[in-house]
Amino acid sequence: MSALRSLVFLALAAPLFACSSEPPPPTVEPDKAQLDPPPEGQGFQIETALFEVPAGVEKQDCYFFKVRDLAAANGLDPNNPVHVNRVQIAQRDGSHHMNVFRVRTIVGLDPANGAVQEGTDNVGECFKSSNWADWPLVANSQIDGQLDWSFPEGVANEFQPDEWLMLQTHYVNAQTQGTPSGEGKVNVNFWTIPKEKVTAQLGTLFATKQSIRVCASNPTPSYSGTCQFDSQKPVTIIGANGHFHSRGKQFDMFAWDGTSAEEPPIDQRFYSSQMWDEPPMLTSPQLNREIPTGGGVFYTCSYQWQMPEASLGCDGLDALDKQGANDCCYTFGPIVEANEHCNIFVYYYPKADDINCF
Amino acid sequence: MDKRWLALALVCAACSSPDPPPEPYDAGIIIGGCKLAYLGDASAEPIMDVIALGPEGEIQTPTDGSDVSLIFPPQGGRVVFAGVRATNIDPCAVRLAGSLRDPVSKQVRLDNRTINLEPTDDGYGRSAPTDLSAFANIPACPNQWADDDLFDKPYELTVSLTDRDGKKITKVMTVTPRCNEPGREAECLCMCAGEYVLGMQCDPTVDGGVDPDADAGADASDPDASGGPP
Repeated sequence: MSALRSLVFLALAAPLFACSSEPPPPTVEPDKAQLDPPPEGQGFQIETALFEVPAGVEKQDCYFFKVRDLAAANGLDPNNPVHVNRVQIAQRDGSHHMNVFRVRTIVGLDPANGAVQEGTDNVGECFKSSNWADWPLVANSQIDGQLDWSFPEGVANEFQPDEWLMLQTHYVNAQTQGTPSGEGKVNVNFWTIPKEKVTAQLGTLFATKQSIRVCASNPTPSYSGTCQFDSQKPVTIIGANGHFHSRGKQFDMFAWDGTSAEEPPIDQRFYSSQMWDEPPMLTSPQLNREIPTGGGVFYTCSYQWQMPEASLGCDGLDALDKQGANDCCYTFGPIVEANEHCNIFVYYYPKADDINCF
Repeated sequence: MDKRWLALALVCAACSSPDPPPEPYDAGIIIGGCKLAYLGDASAEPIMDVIALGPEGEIQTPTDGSDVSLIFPPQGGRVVFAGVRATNIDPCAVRLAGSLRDPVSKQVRLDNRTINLEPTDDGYGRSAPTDLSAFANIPACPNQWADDDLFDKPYELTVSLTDRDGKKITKVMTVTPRCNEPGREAECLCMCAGEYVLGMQCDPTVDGGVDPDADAGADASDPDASGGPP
């Protein structure tokens, strides 16, 4: 064998040794969605079923729960409000996001139509964001594994007995994001404190920019917006995370005074992410940012256009573009492979109101 | 290259990234990027007019003292669609910044975005009239921010344009927002009113927009917003 042949052989054969070793002995991975419920009288748990996420599929399901039923099932007074001071979220790998909302205006998603309403590949009422446009955010997570967040002492999210909660889970098993086990599962614990211990209510702010396009001819766009707390006194942000898809490169949130039209200075930035699939979830006590009266959040999403996956192609994107620009544009929407988002989730106190900005 | 390094490079190439991201090629042609020619004179100061979408979707050119329309956008609520018409500027990836300020409280609402200017026959480029994302979508209503009604009162509209070389031009003018989109006036008058409170149901079929029988749930918001969380 000549030296060159030897080198070629080595080059071709080496990966077999360098890259593939004997498969490790099977080990039992702990179930990341495993979460023991709070003891009786200290809160309640909501959970999804263990559901299949086949290869090539995006699954988005909506689960409905009535607060009264949840309270009664775990030893809480079903006729009085509950005050949640700690949230635990546990998810199997492959979760794109999970959100919990308070149900408000009924459009196409109605708890009367069933406790579980499933959606697959952008089909189904659980995929249509107009169905929960005015539903206040309660909790969310975009990370696999577990989140355990205790609010500051005395801060609680109050729920009325007749309120409905909706747990929405979105799993992706496609090119850009995978579900290794092919199965999804989410558990959420809400831990409560007595009313007498509540000193401030938790509020939430959700903002989204929907008029966004990431196109071949404008490949590095960024979009900025603001959302105000509408409070008559300063508030404190204690939780935040941003959400975009795989064209997203930089996500920033700043404390904003409500009167400046320019992007706030860098020392006002309290959130920064370059990770679209596992964006950081900042929580107290690490995040504790005061916002002045009349202020809010200034946020920016920056993108880098990419060729779509071969199975989709520019033809696929163009077919989804309601504007018909034929510019291979990713437009607003829920499908990870084909759409983009620019959403912020913010938690604060004391509550002025639950805020949705569009 | 030393043959050992060549072999190592081949090994590493084989190990890393089995599925490289697709290149920006389509049928052998590189796609992506803005290929628009410079507008006007690169050595001259930029010239810009503010344009806005009118009640019928037509292009208007507001100046100081003009009316602007509060338009129902796909995302819900009401916005001012503020764009530009400009020359002596690079049309690719310009930064469009639009804001509306309450002259009393000084509170401001804004929308900033990166767009390409669509060339026109006169050496100018503009926000493409058929592309809502080529306009700043300045969110005005529901009115959770202004001390007074958002309509029929003076507000300060600011529009800035900045190109990739940092050439910048800004126009500031006083405008009067109007609820004049056909068929949507009542709802606009309701959600843009100074006394609007979050959760108030603005029924477009009721005179004045406010449905007297509707609950004003404290946690509800824009009832006609068509978008939401992911």
